[in-house]
Amino acid sequence: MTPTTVGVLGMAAMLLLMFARMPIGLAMALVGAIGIAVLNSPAAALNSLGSFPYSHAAVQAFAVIPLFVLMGNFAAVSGMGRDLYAAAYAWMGHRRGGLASATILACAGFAALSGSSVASAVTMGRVCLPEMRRYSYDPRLATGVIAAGGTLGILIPPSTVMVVYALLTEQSIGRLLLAGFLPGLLLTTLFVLTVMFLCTLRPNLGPPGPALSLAERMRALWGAGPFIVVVAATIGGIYAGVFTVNEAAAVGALLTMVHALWRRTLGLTQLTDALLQTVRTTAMVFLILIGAHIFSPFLAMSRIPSDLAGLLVDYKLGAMTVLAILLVAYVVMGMFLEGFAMMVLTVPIVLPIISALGIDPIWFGIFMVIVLEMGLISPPVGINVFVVKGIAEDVPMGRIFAGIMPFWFAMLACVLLLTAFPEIVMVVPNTMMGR
Amino acid sequence: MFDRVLRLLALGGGVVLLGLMGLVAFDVVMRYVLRIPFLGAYEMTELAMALIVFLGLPYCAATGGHVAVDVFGPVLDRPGFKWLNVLLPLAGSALTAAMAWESVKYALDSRARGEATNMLKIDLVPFQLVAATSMALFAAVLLVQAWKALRR
Repeated sequence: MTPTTVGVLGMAAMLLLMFARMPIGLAMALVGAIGIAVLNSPAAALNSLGSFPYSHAAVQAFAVIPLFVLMGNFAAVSGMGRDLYAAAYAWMGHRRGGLASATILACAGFAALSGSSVASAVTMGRVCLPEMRRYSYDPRLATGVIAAGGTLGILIPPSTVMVVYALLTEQSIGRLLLAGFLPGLLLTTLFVLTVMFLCTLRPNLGPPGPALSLAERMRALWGAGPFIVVVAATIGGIYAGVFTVNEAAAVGALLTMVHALWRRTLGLTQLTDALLQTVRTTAMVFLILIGAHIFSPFLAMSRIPSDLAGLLVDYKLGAMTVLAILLVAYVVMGMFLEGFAMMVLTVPIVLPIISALGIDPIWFGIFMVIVLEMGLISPPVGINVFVVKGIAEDVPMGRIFAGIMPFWFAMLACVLLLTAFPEIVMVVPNTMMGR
Repeated sequence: MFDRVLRLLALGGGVVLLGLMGLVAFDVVMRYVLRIPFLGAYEMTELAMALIVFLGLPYCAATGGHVAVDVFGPVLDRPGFKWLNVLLPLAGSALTAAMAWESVKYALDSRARGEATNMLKIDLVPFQLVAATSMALFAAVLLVQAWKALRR
């Protein structure tokens, strides 16, 4: 058998195992080990199985993952989400669709504390949905903004998905996280514009709430102070080169913990839950990382990625055509696959192509994350949609998806804007101080 | 009982994580305020990472936390696919058992070479054995899942 045949068989086996519900990390390790045994030697395969788990976990740079996850879990307990919503509501609530816009802004804020879309949607959904209900917002708009707003969690730094992308592609974690900052603001703006547009079109979708006095507004803004401190310390600290990524994550986690203790929302039960949840998420990420590190050498040995890249270069398809093909492919895959799975499976194949075309891997990381976000909210298996459904049980799935569609197009617009103006992604990491 | 042990282990990982958070924050203070770099922090972070990941791995498996694709869930839950739902965890169990065994060999090699961290000279072997034990517990969790699928 040629290496290519083995590679194709391996990928087919991988897909079969995955669709048969084998955990993705295990499926990658299994197929990767068998593939290495065939293409190299059984001894090499066994050696990877024994050394990779430890050597790909005991890494100093990876500490950022559990520390940022911990920060997000503490932030969910501390009530910062509620404060953020109160502040956004005070300034936006009296406008048409104002509660929906406030929800987007609060989601964007929470995304700066948490690196997970699901966590953002759960936390902010519990806070915002009852409020929008109270002002009889259309359930389509109310559920749509939460599902869409939640996806900002993986674009605005910190982001677990982006850290994993950085690790898989050997890019700087700090640069990649900062690269998500402006696109995150852009997408937030596009979401708010979408809300305004929808509510101008159909005013009964989101009636305005009562206006607050300036004093009340300032008080609500003051309440969001701790949030500003944490974000300044973490994202600001990385940008200014004051903190390494690990340090920013540790300081951020410590500050959110202190805030939660000060607000008396962190008892022993909540602490235990936060720790267990964090360790569980960390283990989940690392099983995938370990599996990916066994699977991708196998793919490289099969020479499929490099052959494919060579083929695309020979056909002179051009970067834009390839990006368009990838966009369509990811959107279609996103309907069936979970974001993490899609990323770890495709990165070893797509990265050589991207590099051959001269596209910056950091820019592509942001492109990919937004496209993954589109998958998070597209039918039939958008995870964020299930999360929202869990909070708004009485709203049928069909209506939630209908509510999401306008935001899905806003994301598409964002991807196109970033393709037309790549500087939006690159300007922050390029002006970053320190390393 | 088994599940309680796994939960306790994961909680142990959580306590290590809290310690890691404190350690890194302490390192920052030492560097900026006292201008004394804390030299052992780097390798302590590495070892802490191994503990956090491997103490949590079996708990994550037992609580269904590992990412899997559930598109065909309704089809696969039909009785006709019972064999597949038994076979796949068995295959996973064989794989993780092999990883546990190979990890033990890796730890023994490392002991033969006398591997330790650079600054503090901490022996790596216990941490590598934690990784091996974790993979073995993961294999056990998958065996239990295969058994449950068979009984259903």
